[in-house]
Amino acid sequence: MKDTQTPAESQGGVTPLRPVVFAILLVLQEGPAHGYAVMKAVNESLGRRAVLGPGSLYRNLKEMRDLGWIEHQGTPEAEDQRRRIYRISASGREVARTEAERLRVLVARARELDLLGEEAATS
Amino acid sequence: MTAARAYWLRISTAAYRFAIRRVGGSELPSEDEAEIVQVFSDELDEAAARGPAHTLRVLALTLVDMVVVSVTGGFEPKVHRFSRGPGTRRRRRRGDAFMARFLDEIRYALRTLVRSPSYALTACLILTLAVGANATIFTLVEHLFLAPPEHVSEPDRLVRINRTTEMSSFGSLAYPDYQYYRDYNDVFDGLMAYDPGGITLSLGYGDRRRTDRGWFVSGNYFDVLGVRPAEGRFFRPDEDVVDAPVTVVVISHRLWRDLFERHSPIGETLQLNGQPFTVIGVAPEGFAGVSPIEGVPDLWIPITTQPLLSPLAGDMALKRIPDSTWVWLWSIGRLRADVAASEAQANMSALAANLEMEYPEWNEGWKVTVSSGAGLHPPQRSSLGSITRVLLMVALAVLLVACSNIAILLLARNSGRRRETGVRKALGANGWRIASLMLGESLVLGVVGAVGGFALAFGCTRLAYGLLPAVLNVPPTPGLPVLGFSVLLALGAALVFTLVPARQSALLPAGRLLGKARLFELRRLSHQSVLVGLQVFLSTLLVIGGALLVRSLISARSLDLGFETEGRIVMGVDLRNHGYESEATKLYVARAMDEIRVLPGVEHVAIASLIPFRGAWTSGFTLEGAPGLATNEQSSGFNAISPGYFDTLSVSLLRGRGPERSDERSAEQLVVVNEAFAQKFFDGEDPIGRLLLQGEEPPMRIVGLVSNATYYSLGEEPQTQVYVNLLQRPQSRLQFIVLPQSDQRATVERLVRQKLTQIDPDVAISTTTPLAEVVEQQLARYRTAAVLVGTFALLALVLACIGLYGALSYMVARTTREIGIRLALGARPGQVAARLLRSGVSVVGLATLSGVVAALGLTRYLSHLLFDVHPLDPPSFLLTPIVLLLVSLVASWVPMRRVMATEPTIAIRAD
Repeated sequence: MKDTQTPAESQGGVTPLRPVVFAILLVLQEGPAHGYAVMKAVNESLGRRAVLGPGSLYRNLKEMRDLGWIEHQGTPEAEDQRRRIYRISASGREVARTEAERLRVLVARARELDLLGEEAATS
Repeated sequence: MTAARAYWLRISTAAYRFAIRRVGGSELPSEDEAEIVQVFSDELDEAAARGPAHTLRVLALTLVDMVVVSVTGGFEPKVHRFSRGPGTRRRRRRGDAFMARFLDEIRYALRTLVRSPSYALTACLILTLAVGANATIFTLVEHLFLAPPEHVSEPDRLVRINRTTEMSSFGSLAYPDYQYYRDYNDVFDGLMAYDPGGITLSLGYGDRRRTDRGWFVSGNYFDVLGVRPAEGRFFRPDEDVVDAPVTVVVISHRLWRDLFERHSPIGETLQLNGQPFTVIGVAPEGFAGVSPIEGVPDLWIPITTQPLLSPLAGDMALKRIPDSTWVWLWSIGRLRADVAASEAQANMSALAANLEMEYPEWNEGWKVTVSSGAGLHPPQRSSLGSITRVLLMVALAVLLVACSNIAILLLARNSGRRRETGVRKALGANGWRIASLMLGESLVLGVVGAVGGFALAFGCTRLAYGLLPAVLNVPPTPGLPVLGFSVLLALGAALVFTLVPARQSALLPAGRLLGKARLFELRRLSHQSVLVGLQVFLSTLLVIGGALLVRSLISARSLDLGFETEGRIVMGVDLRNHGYESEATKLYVARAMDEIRVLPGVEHVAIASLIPFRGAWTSGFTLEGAPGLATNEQSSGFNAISPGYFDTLSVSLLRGRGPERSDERSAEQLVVVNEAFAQKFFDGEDPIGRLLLQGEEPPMRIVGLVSNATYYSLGEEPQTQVYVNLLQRPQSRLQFIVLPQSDQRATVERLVRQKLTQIDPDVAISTTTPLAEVVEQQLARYRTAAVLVGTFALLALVLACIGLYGALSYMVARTTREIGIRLALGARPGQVAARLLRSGVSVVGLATLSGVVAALGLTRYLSHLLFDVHPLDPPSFLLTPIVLLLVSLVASWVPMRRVMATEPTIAIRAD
């Protein structure tokens, strides 16, 4: 296996994304945020079933950073050095889009099979 | 953020950082570590602001998160499929191994503890008791000194302002001074004042009557504290002026609930001491001012309405507001955000100097101090501090005894596992591995001890807070900080008591552990002797302290008060503001006496303006015809009493007569004095017939002499007392003292209340208090101190006893073979046993002696809790060592028996 991958190559290998990774990408798509803000938003979006703690959050952020999906935004002077700001990169956006597309196909299929019921189908 | 919260946040963050380092190892870059810790700290901070439940949840989830991360390979991403370098696998194994080993150790610890239930139970119980004792005391400390006041925003910025001289510190302010400081300072966002004494108000609403506590506060009181009303609003500046057109009041949440049930009280009118007050707001539930002990009023009234409500006669009342000599207010300021306490001090000192120049007659020599921390008033802080310090020291001593005790238990246990440990070592386990097995065990014990201790603190807190000289506004309950404290303490203790045995097993080579026990260890107590010595030393200290306090309680209890309390009940009325002039009061007193006396079940009844221990009335007079004393004004305690007073309280009348109904018609006031009075002013000669003169009052002729009694505080020197007849000198605050026939208390109480309501339905009657309870309250401090310290001392003594027993048994077990050889070579069992006993007794003797010496220096810190007992009380100091030596002999008995019964042929073959 190679040590480095271009974003295009990696996308194929990583989807389906783990829900937490997808959720983090979605949060950062809304705008740059620091670690704790990401954690809070992800925990809210995933509900009570999955809970992200500081350790696992950091591990995921590191993985995504290594993959080039997210990047540090230059920390403003006034900001605390310990609160690094993350933002989504072009390749991260691409990965998120691919995952969303994949999900859309699956959801469409589920709808065809009447799994989502009428109400969901019309929404 | 409050100081306490910041403190806990700091500690938790530090603990988290430590754990992260452990999990992440050296591969985790420091800036990444800082980031993780920051996320945790942000999360915890937010949770802490939302309450203890959220904090606990965050802590629990973070723990789970940490375990998950460490089990699944540390901080290197789990599914990092594209760049798995050579280091990753190693790191992952490392994290896994750490976690797995940790879990293994816990499992192993649980198994071994279950296998030896008596040891596990004893250790858990000892630790629970010790942690519980500490958690209880810490609850008080936290409540008094650390916890931020409820509903007060940013209490860190509040400071107290006091007037001080070189002679006295922490004096109150006069209203004009307060106004000056308030208007001319440049350092406070606001400066408020309040009257901590408060005032008892009779409150009328519709047809309901009750008495409630009120506080005079400046108009900006709530604004300076940053409190938000639960309903309505707080005072406006135009409502805090003399002769405001509408007088307003803020009520407590409790009063709102009691008086108005659900409907809004805003705009309702309350009659306070007969004056109409409009309710404008309700304080939030649980708001109890800034200090945990100042009491919680039900009514807050602007200072400027003081003349309307004052209990003092007209002129005096009016003078308070403009009077610069009348110091009665405490003041608290909110520092401006950019101002430090030292700058505030400089600014206030300058203002005080101005005042001194302008009004030297009132302000000469007075300074102003700004003391940070608005919670406790500085003198209260020091007096409460000294008591809680004693308690903390006692509790810590118990903890130390417990720790060394469990260490002895562990040592004894480990000696039983020498072979096992030796095998482990021979198979390649290193010292750390062996020690960590023991650490796992103490970790489990620590957790049990923490939980148990915390639970125990719930039960014991109430007992402990009875010891404080001040009454707390809200009874404290152990909260999150106490839980944290218990956990830290229990785990710390667990670490401490594992240290010695773990070090011992870790250091000894496998051969030593596997081989036969060494000979000639009979006289060596080494580790054990230090541990036993420590326990005995601390127990000696505690037992001496306990003995002193118990003796003090006994002497306080057996004190002759000079009056009887048994069965007497007391209830009070306050006729002020009910339109009673002096003639009307006399009629009221006479009628109440007549009607209550004939009620069924009433044996005696009397009315007095004061009852013992509650209030004082000191007045000046001159003596007629007493050479040398005649020209000088003298002073004495006074009380106004009705006929029947001495009978009701069983005070013996030595000469003459008591007050009578017919005295009312006498031109002179006919008074009774006590023995101390006769002794002081008449050299013990018969005082009957002598005259006392007092300003405009009619002359007082002494007609009776009674025995001394206790008037103000337990154990006081005999105080001079003059009893005037209530019918000649009517008072508006009256205490009814009733002695019912033996089993009639409830009926009599009901009938008396009915009768008083019948006489004047507008006058509120206070709750009924047994006179014995009034005395009992005086004893509370001594009793609780004796109970608490006595219990701790007993606990320590029992623990020390177990410790000594354990240590000696351990030594006998370890040296069985040596004993066998000695016996086989012809030593008599008695000689061997005596040898063993000597080593035990010498440790105990030495430790007891040092305990006594240390106690000689330490008991003076108890002097404020001692009643009529000297801190160096000889019986306590002499008896304690004897008790300890006897107890240690008893503890040695069983191991001795074992030596005496040793069969040499078997013993020689022992390990």
